[in-house]
Amino acid sequence: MQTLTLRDRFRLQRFTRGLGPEAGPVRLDRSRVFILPTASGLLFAGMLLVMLFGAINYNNSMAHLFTFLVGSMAMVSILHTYRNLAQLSFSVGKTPPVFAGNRAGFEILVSNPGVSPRYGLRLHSRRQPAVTLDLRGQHTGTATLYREARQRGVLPLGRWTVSTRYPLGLFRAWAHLDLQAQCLVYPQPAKERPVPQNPAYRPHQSGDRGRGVDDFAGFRPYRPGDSPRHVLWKAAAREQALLVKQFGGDRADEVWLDWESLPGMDTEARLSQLCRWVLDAHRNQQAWGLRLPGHEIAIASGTRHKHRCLEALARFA
Amino acid sequence: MPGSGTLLSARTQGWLLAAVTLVVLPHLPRLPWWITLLAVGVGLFKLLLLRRSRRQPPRLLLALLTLAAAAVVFFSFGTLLGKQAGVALLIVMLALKLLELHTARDARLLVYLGYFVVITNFLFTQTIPIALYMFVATVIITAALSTITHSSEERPVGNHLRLAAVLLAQALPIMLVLFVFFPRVAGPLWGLPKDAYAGMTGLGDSMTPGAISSLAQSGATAFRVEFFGPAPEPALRYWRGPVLWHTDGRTWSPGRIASYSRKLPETVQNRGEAVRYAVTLEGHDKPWLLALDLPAQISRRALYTVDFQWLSYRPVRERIRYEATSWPRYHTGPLDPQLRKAALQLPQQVSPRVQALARDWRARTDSDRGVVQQALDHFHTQPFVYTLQPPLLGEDPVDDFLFGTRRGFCEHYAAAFVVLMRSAGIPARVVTGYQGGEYNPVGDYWLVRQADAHAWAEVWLPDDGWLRVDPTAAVAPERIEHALDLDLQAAGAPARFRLAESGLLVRGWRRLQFAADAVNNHWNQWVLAYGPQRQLELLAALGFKQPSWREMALTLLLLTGTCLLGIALWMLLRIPRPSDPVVQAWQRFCQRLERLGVRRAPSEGPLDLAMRATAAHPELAPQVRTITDLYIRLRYGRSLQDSREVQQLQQRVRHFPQRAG
Repeated sequence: MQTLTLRDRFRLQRFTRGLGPEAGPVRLDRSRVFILPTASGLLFAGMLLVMLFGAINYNNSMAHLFTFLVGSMAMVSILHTYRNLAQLSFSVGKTPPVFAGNRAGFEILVSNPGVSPRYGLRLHSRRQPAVTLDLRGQHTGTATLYREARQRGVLPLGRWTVSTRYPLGLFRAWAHLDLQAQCLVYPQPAKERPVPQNPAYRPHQSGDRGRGVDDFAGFRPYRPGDSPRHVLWKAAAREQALLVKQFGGDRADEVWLDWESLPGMDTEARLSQLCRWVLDAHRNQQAWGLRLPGHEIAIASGTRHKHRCLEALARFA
Repeated sequence: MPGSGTLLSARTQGWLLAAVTLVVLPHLPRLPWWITLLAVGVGLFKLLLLRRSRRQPPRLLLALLTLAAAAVVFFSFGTLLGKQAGVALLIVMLALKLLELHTARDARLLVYLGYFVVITNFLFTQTIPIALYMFVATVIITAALSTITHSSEERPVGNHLRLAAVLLAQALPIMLVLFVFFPRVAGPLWGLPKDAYAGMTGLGDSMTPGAISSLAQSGATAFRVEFFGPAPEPALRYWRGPVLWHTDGRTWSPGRIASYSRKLPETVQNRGEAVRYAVTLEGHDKPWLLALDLPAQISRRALYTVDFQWLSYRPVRERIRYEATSWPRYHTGPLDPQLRKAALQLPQQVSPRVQALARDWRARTDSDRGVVQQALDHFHTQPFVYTLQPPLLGEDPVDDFLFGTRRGFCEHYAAAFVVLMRSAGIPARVVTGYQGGEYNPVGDYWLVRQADAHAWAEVWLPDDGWLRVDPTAAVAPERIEHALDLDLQAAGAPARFRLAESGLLVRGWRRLQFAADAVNNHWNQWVLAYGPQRQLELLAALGFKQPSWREMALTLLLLTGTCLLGIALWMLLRIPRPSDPVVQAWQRFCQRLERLGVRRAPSEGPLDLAMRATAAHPELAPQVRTITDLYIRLRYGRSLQDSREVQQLQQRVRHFPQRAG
């Protein structure tokens, strides 16, 4: 538990915004959880007041007793509301990168170290619909919070809130958290545009792996759009996988995707275009390299390489 | 968690229906038949809706129905306020709201109305069984509120019920603190509806033939008395109520004797032992504070009338308790001339027969005392009958009774006697009150019922002052010794009295009744009669002499806070341990690793954790390995747990270093 000075403890900011960004798993305790009555809790209080006046007016002992019973129950329910949040531990799970223009999902791991279950936990971040969660004792659950990724770069989730109205909905307990969750936002892919072929391409002994039509190069699994003439029907008849014959020329290009090849465009447009090319190159199973001002990624291929390039585009300053 | 916009599940609606039914049920017999019919009909219809479809009646129809129902309530009660009409309206609204359950907000409103209906039940009856019933009903309503707040398929029905029961059980100590220490204000805060005190019985402020005999057929409790010493003998147990001076021949009323003081006049002298006792008086909507004849002191702020009666400043509308001192043997001293005049007042018409009778007695003796004695002899020797259901009397009730029917209840005898005395020139008046009482051996107190209501006479004699004369005793001496047996009265027949029963069963039954009344008495005294007065007494006993509002508020806050803190500590510190010893041992191991700087990630399995731990602390590698292996085998292995292995695991964990170095 983080120790707070008295002055810190009474800062309004803690109440409205929480303790600010912090790393790692956070366990909820007294210094983080706040409780206030809900609107229906206030209505309940109003009803109690009317009941009390009725009891006094009619000098009715049982009405007094019952009003006090229901009022005390409301008071006790505060403790239950608090306990529903107390000791829960939060950490950031997976935050897969997204392209700009999509929603970024931040997985939050919520673990309940206690034995008693926690009901009706609500997680929400700014104006996004809340995620509700029930947790059995000694269990860890996940909730995914979303945020619109408008710009490429590193998108922080920022402050989000976990709250509960358990058990009677009369009080709401909440804690503001900011676990420094970040999501990488790749540039939004631009429209199709031919890759400039001017940078070096050289003959390669493995050829262009199926892009040409001249020589038989091998088999590969069927993909929608393949010509039926190339399907290996014999294998299909033997109920093996659907394979197609691959043909290729001897022209294998290793593409350099270059910042400088897109003159006269602004930075974001260039990055978007490069992003598109990276995706196309990967889809076409090409090998490619990426050149950015001050940064170069050597020619390679594969999913890891793709993400490395996209990350470089996302983080380009 | 359903927000205010989400639809309610059928299960939640079922809970609501059950809760509402429970709280409305005790009201049904008190309501007009058409509301009962409406409530039951709506309940059944709702049940049908729950089973068949989710379609609800249209809102406009419901709004019109509500208005119509409110209008009918208004026309059948003449008001929308008041106890009866208010409850009727509340129940109509509750029933119709049941049909308009769409969202969580509707459901919450219904639940809140339900809590309210519970309270209104207490305006009609506050017995122990009703209190218990309402507690159970409250558990159900609260469970319904819990299902509205959070409901999931995985959460069983019992979970909501248990939660509600736990919440209410934890609320009990705080409720007790609030009940005892919350500053009580004497109500009412504003004018109460006219029917607020309907149904209170007790002595009226006037007397007509038949008034007391109708009261005497009620078995309701008038008051209970604890004597702080031996109880006075039956012949002295006259509980003084309103004194009636003025008569028009039929009705007796207090007249214009309006003279009050704060204490007993000094002319009244005690001629025997003072009797001290405490009275728990039921509310009767009149100011009289019943006390043993002759009342001397009282522990409440009250006025003392010139005819020896304590009056409360306000009508007694709730059960109150007071201590009093009485002088069963007394001398009241001289008679004020004005009072003498009032005590000789006669109706416009006194029949010649009555006048002749009085004159005859007067002529035969030279003392007032002799006249009184002759009158009593007259009642004793002539064929007078004491009956609870006397025949109706004609134009001149006194004449008709004395010379015609000769059958009457105490009020007939008292009225006739006083008229005769006044005709003979002896100042006399009618006193109403209660006579007798039944001893409850279980609770050691006396129970005085409305059936013990009585009327007697007082005459003023020069030697004795005001002297109590009970003409009924001359006719039916048993009346003074025994209570009327209400079960055995027949029209016109002589009254039957409750004599000692001998049957074992009867005695057992009586004993049970005594025990029940004793429990009721404690409930009355400590729960129902707990008001401003009782609170002051209790606080004084606790050491608060003159508690100020601030002191009270502080005490209240402190005690409530202590209770809440206690519950909080109990709830939050008593962390339930997992019951599986293997899991327990593993958790302990993880805690120790954490202290060594290896913190288990939430999703980390035992093998990964062991790997990191070994990397961080190579010197502990063998121990970490053994513990991890044991844990994996016990927790995930196919075979049944071997208790020796469990012990081994626990032992290893215990010996695992607590901190580095």
